[in-house]
Formats: sequence, C-alpha cells, structure tokens
Amino acid sequence: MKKLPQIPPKHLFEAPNESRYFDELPQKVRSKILEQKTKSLPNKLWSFFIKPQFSLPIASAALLIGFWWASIQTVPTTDVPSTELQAQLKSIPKQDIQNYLLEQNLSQEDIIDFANSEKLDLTAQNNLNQVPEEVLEEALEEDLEEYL
Amino acid sequence: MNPQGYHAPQPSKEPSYPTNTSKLGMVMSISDEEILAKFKQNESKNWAFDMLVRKYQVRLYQHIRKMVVSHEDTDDLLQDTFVKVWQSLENFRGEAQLFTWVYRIATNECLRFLQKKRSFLGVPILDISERLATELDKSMPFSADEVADKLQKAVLKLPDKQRLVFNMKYYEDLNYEAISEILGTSVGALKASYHHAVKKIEDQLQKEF
Repeated sequence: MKKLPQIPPKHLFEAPNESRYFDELPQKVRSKILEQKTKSLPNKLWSFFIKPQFSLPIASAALLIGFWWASIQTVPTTDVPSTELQAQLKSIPKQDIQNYLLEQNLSQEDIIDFANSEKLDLTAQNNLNQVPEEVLEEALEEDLEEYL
Repeated sequence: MNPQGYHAPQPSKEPSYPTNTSKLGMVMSISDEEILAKFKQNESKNWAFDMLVRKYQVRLYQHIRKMVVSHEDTDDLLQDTFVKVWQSLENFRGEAQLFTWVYRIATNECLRFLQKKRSFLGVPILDISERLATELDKSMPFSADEVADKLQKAVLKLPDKQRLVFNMKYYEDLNYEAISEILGTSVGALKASYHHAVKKIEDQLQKEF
C-alpha cells in the first residue's frame, strides 16, 4: 500500500456537461441576483415595519389616524344641547302638540302612550269628537282596569 | 508561491481542472485588483463580477463538491456563494485577499449546509459520512481509478473541518497561511489537523487494500 504523499491528487468530481455548465453559470448567478433583488424590496419594506424601534410609533400613528378618521365620518348627534331642545319643546303649548298629533296618522298605541306620558285626559269633551272611538274605548278600559 | 496562496506549479501534483482552458486562461490573467477596481465603477460593475465568477467558479465548484458530493447541492451552494459575494463585495475592504475572502464565503456555506442536513436528518457525523459515500457511488458508479475512489471515501469519513483542511492542503494545494485566513484557525492547529487527517486516511486505506 502506497503512503499518501505517493498518491497524486486527482479531482474525481465533474459537473455534468461541464464546459456548458461553467459557461452558463455566470448568467444563472446574475438571474438569481435579480430575482433576489425583486423579492427583497417588499421584504425590506416589511422588515422596516416590523423593526421594534419603528413598529410601536407606526402602530400608534395608525391608531390615531384611525380614531381621527372615524370621528370625521360620524354624524354628530349630540351637537344640539339637550337642555336647549327641551326648552324649545316646553315653549310649545300642550294644546298645540295635542292637536298636531291628532291630525297626524298615528296609531292608537302612539296616542295612548303620548296621553299617558303627558297625563292627558283623553276623555275631555273638546277632544272626544276628534279621537277615534276605538281609542277612547281602549283608554277607558285601561283606566277602569286600574281601579278594579 | 504566488500571491493567491498557491505554491509554484508542480507538474506531478497540479490538479487537472476539466474546463475550457483557453477561456479560463484569459480570465485567469485578469488580476483580482483589476476586478475590484472595475467593480467599483458602475459602468463596468457587471463585467467585473462576471470575470470574478468565471475566474473562481471551477475551483469553488471542486471545493464545494468535495464537501457535499452531490452536483445539485454544489450547484445551489455555488450560486448562493456568488450571490453573497455580489451582495458584500462593495464592503470588501481588501484586508484579506479576494481569493481567500471568496473561499471563506463558500466554506461557510458548505459548513452551514452540512449542519442543516445533519439536523434535518437527525443523524450523527458518522452517518452523514456514510450518506456522502453512498452519494459518491451514485455520482461515479464506474470510477476508473480505484485508489482515488478509495481515498475519496476515506476522506469523507473525516469530520467536516478536518476534511476541509485536508481538501485544501492535499487537493487544492493551498499553503497553511491561506488556509488559516480562510478558516480563521492558527497555522499550528492546521498542521496538527492535517497530520491527523493523513494518519486516519492512511489507516483507512491500509484496511481497504
């Protein structure tokens, strides 16, 4: 058996279709570099956003923008102060409201509810002619039930 | 010894790289300094990189292939090596030689690949050597040189780093200083490692013949 220094080094490995493989390799490498460049742009953006030093300020800013956007999109419902509204309503005479409601095509339940809430006497003579008969009967029945 | 860490050519030991010699001769005549200077200029950047790939592709192919055996894996690792070279060449300060710097990238790619393969397969070092030997039989089912074939199989039994040292010294004829720069290991440690590797291989060959 020969000692190692007596064995000449020999490269056993060859690439399949070697000369073509090495002719084409620089082009393959360039394509891979291009491919990575196009891939890495969105990755770079994403990695910028997920960096801890940037993610918190960006998230906070997004949240603030979200709140601001939501606030400008919402229709203000409480802009008229409720005290002012109540004062305006109180300035209208009850009789006028009653007459207005009776002219409207309201359901019997609405009228009874309104009458109860305002403690109106639906049986009063001046109203009786304008109140439908069934409504009066229903109201009377309810009043009677309270005393039975 | 030339500036790239190679000893003066010795006809009996000169590895025979199978390639188109006329093209390679032209590319090999371009110095690393010229490649680096051209790479710094935008208009000649691609040309310079192309020359770099052509200059080192065959040697790096052999270097990687001896470590991972399969051509497909070698092809992937070689391309990855050059992609990394492209990405980092602008920051190359010239503290090391271009040649050793490129070799170091390729070596690290190989070691990382073998480590990954080992943890993926969940096998110890000896088993991966067996797998590489099987791969070698598949790659070259009809080897004309029995001694070279047995030698290669004995080399595959060495631990990764020892195998690297052996390959670079024995097959690639690099001097210890260059290997030290590539692996970041002291020359003394490399000499000891090579000595142990040779001893193990000779023992193995003794058993085979």
